[in-house]
Amino acid sequence: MDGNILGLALPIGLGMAAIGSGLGLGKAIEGGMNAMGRQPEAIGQIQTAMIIGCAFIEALTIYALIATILLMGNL
Amino acid sequence: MAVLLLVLAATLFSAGAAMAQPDGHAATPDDAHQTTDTHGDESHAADTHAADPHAADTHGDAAHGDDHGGGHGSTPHMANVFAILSQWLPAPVANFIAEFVDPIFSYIVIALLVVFFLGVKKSLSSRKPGRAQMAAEILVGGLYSMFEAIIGPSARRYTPFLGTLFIFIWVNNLFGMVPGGHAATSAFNTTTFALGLMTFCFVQFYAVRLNGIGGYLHHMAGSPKTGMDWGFSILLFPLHLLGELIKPVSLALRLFGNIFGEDTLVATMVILGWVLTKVMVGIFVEVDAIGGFLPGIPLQLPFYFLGLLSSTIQATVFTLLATVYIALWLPHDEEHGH
Repeated sequence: MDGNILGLALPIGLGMAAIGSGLGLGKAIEGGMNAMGRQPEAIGQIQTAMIIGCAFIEALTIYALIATILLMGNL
Repeated sequence: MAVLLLVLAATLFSAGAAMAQPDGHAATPDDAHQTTDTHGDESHAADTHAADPHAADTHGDAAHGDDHGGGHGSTPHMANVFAILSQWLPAPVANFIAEFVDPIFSYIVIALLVVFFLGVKKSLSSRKPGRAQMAAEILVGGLYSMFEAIIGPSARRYTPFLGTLFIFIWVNNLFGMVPGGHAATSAFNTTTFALGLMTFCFVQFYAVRLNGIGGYLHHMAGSPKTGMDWGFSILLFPLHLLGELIKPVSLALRLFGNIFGEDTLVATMVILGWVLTKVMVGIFVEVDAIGGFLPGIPLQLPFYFLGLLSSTIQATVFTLLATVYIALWLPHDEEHGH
């Protein structure tokens, strides 16, 4: 094993961030879908709020991506 | 129909245009700060010179022929018009352009927006609004209603800044989608950090102006009312201070990460499409015989849709968060009750 440990660590870290984001987004969208089912006349507002909430959750994974990109040069 | 053909042509031709700028200057905030560091200048000059001879022999096509596959360990991104033009420009101009590409594209966006909105203003008419005026009204009205829902009736004061923030970020993000364009918001050192800083200054200025210095400090200490609250305020003050400082940084990082990631994704797909085409064509025909220039398969086309969505969403999220940060500082008697 003569490589850099970053070669192992970066993809694992990013994968874990993706798992977290997947779970979080799943819960958020589940809540959104439920709300849309209960009140179909509010679908527009619910959709907007859902998309914005998803952007927040996604941002955390993006931070992990940025860290990976920053460290990629040291691989 | 014509628009569809144009988009198809653009994507086919931009298939050859992924040029990996070896230092990936957009990516690393610990890279040299772009304006003052001479060490950064030298590495830039060395890289662009190293890039040029390679670019010269793989193509003859003026518009979009050069493609380098990835540089060593750097992130690929699409060439913008200035990077392509700077092959024929003298070295100092080329270096200047390569270093200031983000402000240059920001200014192009600003010029575009100013021309558009001034044109709308000149031909304002309530009886016979033209299409441009109606589009501008929809945009401004929609933004104002979004701010009003969060801030309340005093949103009028903040709408100019917040609305401009949205439009500026949105158009900048979209410029990254256009072949030959470059999103200024895909660089943390320049545009996104500046936007975060501006939002920070804006929010703090209005916080102090609306609450007074005493009210500002009181709010930062957690709004203590009882004796025990005053005890906690020693703990809460640094916490709130840190929170205020980290919010614009998180805004900037979110925007930067999303837009830079989108650009890199598109460029990677372009390279992939080109490599795929080269392999497939190379089975039948010796690729160098056709001069080394091939339009590649536009694998990046599906990602353009994602990019359009993501550009709009990121602009919305940035603006919405800035609005929420202002709303948090409003004096409590002004809040519209739920």
